[in-house]
Amino acid sequence: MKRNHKQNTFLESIRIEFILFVKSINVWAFLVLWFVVLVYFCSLLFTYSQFTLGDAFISQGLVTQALLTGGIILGAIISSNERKEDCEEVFYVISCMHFYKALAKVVLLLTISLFVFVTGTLTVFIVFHLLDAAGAYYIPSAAYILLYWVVPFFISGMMGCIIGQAMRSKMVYPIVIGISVFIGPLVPKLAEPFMLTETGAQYQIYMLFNLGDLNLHATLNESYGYCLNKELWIARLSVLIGIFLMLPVINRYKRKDYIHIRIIAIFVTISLVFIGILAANRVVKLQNWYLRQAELIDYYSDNPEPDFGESINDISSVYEIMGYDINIDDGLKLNICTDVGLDIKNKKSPLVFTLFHGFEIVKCTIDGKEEEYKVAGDALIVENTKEYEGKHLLRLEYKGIPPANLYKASNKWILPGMFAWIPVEYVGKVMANEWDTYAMFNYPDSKKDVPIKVEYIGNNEVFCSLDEKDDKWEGISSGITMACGWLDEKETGKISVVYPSLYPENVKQAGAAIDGLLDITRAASKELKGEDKCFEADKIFVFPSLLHSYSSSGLYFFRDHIVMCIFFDQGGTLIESIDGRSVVDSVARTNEWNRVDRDVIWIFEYAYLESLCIRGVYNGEGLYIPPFESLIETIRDDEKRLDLANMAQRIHDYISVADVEKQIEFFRSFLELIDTGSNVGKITRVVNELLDSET
Amino acid sequence: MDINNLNKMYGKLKALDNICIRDIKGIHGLVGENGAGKTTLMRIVATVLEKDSGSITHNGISWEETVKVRNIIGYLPQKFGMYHQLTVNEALEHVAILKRINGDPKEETKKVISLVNLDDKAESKVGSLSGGMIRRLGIAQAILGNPEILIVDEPTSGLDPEERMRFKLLLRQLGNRMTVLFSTHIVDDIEDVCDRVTVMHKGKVMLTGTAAEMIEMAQGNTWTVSSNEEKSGEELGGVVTDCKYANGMFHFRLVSDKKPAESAVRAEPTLEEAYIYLLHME
Repeated sequence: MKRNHKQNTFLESIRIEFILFVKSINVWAFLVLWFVVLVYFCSLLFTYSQFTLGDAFISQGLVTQALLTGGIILGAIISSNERKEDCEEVFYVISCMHFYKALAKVVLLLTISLFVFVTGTLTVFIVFHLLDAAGAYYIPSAAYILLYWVVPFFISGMMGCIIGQAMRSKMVYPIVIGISVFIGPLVPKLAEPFMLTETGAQYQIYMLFNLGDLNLHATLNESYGYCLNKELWIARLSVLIGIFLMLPVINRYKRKDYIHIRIIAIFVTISLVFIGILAANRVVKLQNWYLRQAELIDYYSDNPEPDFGESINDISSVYEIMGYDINIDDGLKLNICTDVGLDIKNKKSPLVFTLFHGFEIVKCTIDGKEEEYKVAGDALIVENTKEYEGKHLLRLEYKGIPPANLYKASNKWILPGMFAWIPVEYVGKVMANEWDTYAMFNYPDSKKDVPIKVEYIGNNEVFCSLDEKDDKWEGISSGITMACGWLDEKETGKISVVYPSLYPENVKQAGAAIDGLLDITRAASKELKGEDKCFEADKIFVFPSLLHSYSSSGLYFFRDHIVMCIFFDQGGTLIESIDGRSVVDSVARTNEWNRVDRDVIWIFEYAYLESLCIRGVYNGEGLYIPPFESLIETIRDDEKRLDLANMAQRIHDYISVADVEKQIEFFRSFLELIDTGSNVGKITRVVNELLDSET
Repeated sequence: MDINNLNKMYGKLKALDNICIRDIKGIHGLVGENGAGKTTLMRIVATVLEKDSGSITHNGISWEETVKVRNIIGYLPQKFGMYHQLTVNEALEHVAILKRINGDPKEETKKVISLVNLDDKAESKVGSLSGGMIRRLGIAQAILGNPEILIVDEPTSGLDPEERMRFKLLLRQLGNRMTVLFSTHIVDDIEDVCDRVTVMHKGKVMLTGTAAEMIEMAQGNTWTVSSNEEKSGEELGGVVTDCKYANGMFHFRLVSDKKPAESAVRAEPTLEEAYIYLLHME
C-alpha cells in the first residue's frame, strides 16, 4: 500500500526520533537506571512471602519516584534536541513540522513507556514464578505496574517535554527534578520532618498531585487487592489530555494564528486538571484508612450513645421487623433503598432503629407518605406522627460510604451482616472501641430471621449471602452480607466459600472442616449462654483483616451464612486460621467486655477453650487453640500481675480435675462477672472465691 | 516579493519601523549594523515570527497563508545546526522527506549535495563538519525542493576567506534560479553578490537600490585629507573610513557632507563609504 505524504512525514519524524534516541548516551543512562530500579525491586520481592508480594508494590514509592524523575528528565532532553542542535527554526518553517516532530516525540515516549511496561511486567512475573506467587497476583500486578509505574512515567515524560519546550535555560533540569518530587509518592515522607502531626487534610494536600501510590503506610488489603479504581485512571487520563492540550499553548513562537487554539486549550486544560484533582481527591480520601479509622475511634469516643429513656427499653413492644426489600447501587456512593416491613404495636412510640451514621437519609416514607425522622448518632428515630399501627411499609432511601475498611472504591466494598447498613432494631452504636485501640463492630446478637430480598443495580460482580433468583437474591436470614472486591467463590462440600482470590488453596477443604466449627460453637453457646441455637451455614464469607483487631479473628454467625474476619494463616487451611477465642467471642461477647482488662478476657477464653478440649467436647484438631499455660507465663512475667497469674494458674489446675457440670457452672459465673464490666481486683477476688468454694 | 509597511515591536522597542521593500528578485541583500532589524525581518519573511502589521506578498501569495508560504521558501537561519549523530546524507534525506519534495528524496539529496560541493562528505557525520561545511549543508537543506525564495541570514559571518568566497559563488549561482534574500553586515558581500540591496538602520529602511545607486548617493561626500598629525573624525568633521601613514604624513579618507578642510580633495566613494554615508549623514 502506497503511503501518502502525511504518513511519510509522520513515519520519517518517528524514524529519526528513534535513531537520535538510540544513538544518544541518554538511552544507556536510562537503561542502566531502569535496570538498577528493577533489580532493586525484584530483590525486595524476595523478602516477601508468596502471599504478601502485593505489599512490596504498595509500600515502595521509590520505583514510581525513580520513573517519574527519569521520565521528566528524559522528556526534557527529548524535547530540546532541535534547540540543542540549532535546527529548531529549520524544521519550524517546514509546513506542520512542529506538529509532526512533537507527535514523534510522543510516540517515542509511548514506546519507551511500553518498554518499561513489558520489561517490568515480565521481570516481575519471572520473580513471581520463582517465588511461587498466588495466581491471582499476576494480572492485577500488571495493571498496577501500568497504573502506578508506566502511566506516571509517560505523564512525567510529557511534562518534561512541555517544560523543556517552554524553558530555554539549563535551570530546566533542577526544575523538572523538583516537579517530579512534588508529583511523586514520597512527598509525605519528605514533609514528615516539618510536620508536628499528620492529619487527613495535610495528607490529602500532599497526595493531591501524586501520581504514585496514595498510601505508603498501607499494606495490601487481601479483600480488595490493589487500589486500581476507575477514579485514578480518570485522574491520570484527565492530566494526560490536559498535557496534550498544553502543547499548542507552549508554542514559544507565539504566532497569532494559534491564539484561539490556545484559549480553548487553556480552558479545557484547567477544566481537565480540575476534574483530575477532584477524581484523585476522592480516592485519596478513601485511601487514608489509617487516618479515617482514627477519626472513627474519635467519633465513637466523643459521641456517647443517645439516651432515649424508656422508649427503647423494649423495642419488641413497639414494632417488629417482618422483612426487607433492598435495592442497592454502587455509584460514587452507595445508594440504598430499603423497604422494611413493620408490624407496629405501639402507635404512640417513635420507631427507633440502628443505622450507621455515615449514611445520609434522603427520604423516609411510611406507606408512601413522607414521615418525620431524626438522626442521633447511629440511631434513626422515625417519629410515626400519623400513629400507624399494624402492618406497614417503611421506605428509607439513603446514601453514603461505609466506614474504614468496609469501603475502598466503587467496586470494592463489603457490607457484612454485623454492620448496620440496613435499619435494624435498635442495638446502640454500630461500632465500639475495643480497648481504645480500634473501632470494631457492635454485633447485634438478638436479631430474628426475616425474609430478605435484594436487588443490585450496578456493573460489578457482587457476592451475596442469599440465594440468587432471577437477578435478585432472596432468602430468610438474621442478616445479609454483600461484598464486591478481589474475591472468588468456591463450592466445597455443602458449603460455598467467598474468599480473597489470593487463597484458593487455603479454602479447598473448608466444607469438610466447617462441621467441627459449628459443633464447637453450638456447644459453647449452650454451655455459656444456655441457648440452644441452630448454627448452620450454606455460605462462608472470608474477609481477612476486616476488623484490624488485636483481639482475635472474628466469627459472626447468621442463619444461613458465617462471616469470618480472620488473619489468614497463609500456609494453612481456612479452619487452621481461625483462632478458637473467636468462637467464644462470637457466642458470648458483649459491649461490656471492652471495659474489662484484656488479660482477664484472655484468661476466660483460653481457659474455656482448654476446658472444652480436656472434656473432649472439641478434639483440638483444626481450629487454632492457644495454649493456656503460655498465657499464664506471660502474665506472670509482669510482677504487678502476679495475683492475676495465680488466679489463672488456679483455673488451669481446676479445669483439669473438676467435673463437667461444675466447670460449666464456673465458666457461666465467670462470664457473668465479665459481663458486668468489673475491674481486675473484683474479678480476681470473686473468681478466687468461686474456686475456693469449688475445692 | 513585496514587503509593505511592515512593523514589529518587541515590548516597547520598535524592531521594524514601516519597512517597505518592493520588487525583491534575484539576489537581494540586506545590510545594516547589528541590531538594525535584519534578522527580525528575515525571520518574519521566513514565517518564524509574526509581524505586528503590514504585508508581504509574492506572486499573489500573501504571508497570511503560512502553509502556502512555507511551501515556497527555503530558510537558512543565522545560527544553523543539524542532528550531529546523522550523516550529511541522512540529514538531508530527512529534510527532503519532511519537505514532501517532488521526486525521489535520495536523488534530490544527491543533487543538492553536489551543488554545495559536499560530495566527499556525504557519509560523514554532521558533527564532524567544519563551520563552512555546516553552512553549505544549511544551504543544501534550504534549497531542497527548489524553493522560489531562499532566505539566508548572515551566512558568511565567521567563515574563513576561502569559504566565504566559495559561499558567495554558491549564492550567485542560486540567484539565477530563485529569489535570494541575503542579510549581512559585511558590505563587501553585497558588492560581490547582490543585484539589489536594502540598507537598514535602527529598524528603518535607509535605501533600496543597486550598489551603484548606493555609491551614487555618496558621490561628492567622500574626501581625502592629509595632515602631519593623527586626528580623530570629530576633529576632521566627518567619519574616517581609512587612514594611511606615508612620507611623514597621515592620509585620511573620510565621509562628510561638508568639505572638511581647505586642503580636502573629493574622492570616488567605495560601497562601504556609501554605506557609512547613508548611516551617518542622512
